[in-house]
Amino acid sequence: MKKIFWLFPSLLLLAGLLFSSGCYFDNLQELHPELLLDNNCDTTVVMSYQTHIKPILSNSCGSNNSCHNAQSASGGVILENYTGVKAAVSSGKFLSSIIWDGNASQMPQSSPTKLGDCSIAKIQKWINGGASDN
Amino acid sequence: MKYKYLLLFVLLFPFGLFAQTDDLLAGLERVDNSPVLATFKGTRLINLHTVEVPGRRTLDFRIAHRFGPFNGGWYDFYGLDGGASIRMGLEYSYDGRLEFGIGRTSVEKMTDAFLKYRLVRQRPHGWQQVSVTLFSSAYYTMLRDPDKITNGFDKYARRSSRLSYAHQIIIARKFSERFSLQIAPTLVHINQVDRISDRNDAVLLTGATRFKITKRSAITLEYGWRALGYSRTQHYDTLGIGWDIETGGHVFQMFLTNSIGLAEPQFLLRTNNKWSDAGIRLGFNISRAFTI
Repeated sequence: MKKIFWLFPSLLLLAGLLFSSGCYFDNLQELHPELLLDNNCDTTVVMSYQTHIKPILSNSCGSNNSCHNAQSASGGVILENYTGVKAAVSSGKFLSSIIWDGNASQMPQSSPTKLGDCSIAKIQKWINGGASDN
Repeated sequence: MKYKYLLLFVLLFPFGLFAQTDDLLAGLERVDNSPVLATFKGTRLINLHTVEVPGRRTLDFRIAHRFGPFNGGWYDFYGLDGGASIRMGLEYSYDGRLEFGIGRTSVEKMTDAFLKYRLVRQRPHGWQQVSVTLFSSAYYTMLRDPDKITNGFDKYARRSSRLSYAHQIIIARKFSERFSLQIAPTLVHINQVDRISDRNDAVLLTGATRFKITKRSAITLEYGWRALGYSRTQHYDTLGIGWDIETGGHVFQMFLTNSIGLAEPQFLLRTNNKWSDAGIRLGFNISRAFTI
């Protein structure tokens, strides 16, 4: 009985700890103006699948592409290899799904927000440049 | 100015209508005036919290599950193959009025803790014609910044940036044995938002209803209207239609919803699927109560 008596106060304390960090009114683009000016987002170089695109995909399309690997292939889309990515890009669905233009399901699905502006800019540049396997 | 519409709604809500039966019963002595039970069957309806709180010394273990969207098509077995999100939660009330709960949502690796207090309980007679419950919750995302490599900095460098909050005043009334209705003015605060045009505070009005169709089942409906959303990016209001099945003291809730997130800042503000293009998901809530 004594144990149970302590359960409630200790749970309350836990909640208190979560609430105690307080209320902030931060804005990422105010804290990092370089995001707004795109200074930090270097899209002047030629975008390469291996160095620029692949890390974004394995980071954001499920951990190591867990949603879009050859086994699960959600929506029939495989993003762990170039062939799969190229097929998705050619169908037009790839870009639609990451820029949320309404022509494809919004991705990343488990995230309620889009990819970062810089990641999207890099992918767009890569696609505009022919989406080659470089 | 921000809260103008919300205030208007609260002021216009027809509390006065509920007091009609008083005169008729005034002559009767010793009328049973115990609190109205089971306005809703459970502390959640679909995604939303209801006015209900677990009973005295009750520990409630809850699992909420959402499958993938229907528009995944046959290949994804209409969403059942994957894209699932889960919340596991533990909730406890010592006195049947104050409730405390913790939970973990798979979406955005969100841990939450909340307090819920049953302020007023609806009674058949007298001034307590509605039930009122206060709800406050904090959310902490344990996500690694997905854009850390491309941006060159960690947007979660400060711990406060991971936190968000939701507060609700839940007002509900059981109109008859069959029909219950609930509204809840809601404030959601996000400590760090992404874009310069985003707001840290969002104001919503949520509505929920339950209509009993047979002795053991009920149809439920919920909606979250964003009076003041937080972002210019495209999002949609959350809408859910469900079916409550009572199985010997427990309720199994099955429903369709367009939201994937299970924490209030997620499903209220950042629902990115819509009903019209079949971006809906099958989901269920299971609860197991222990008396300790």
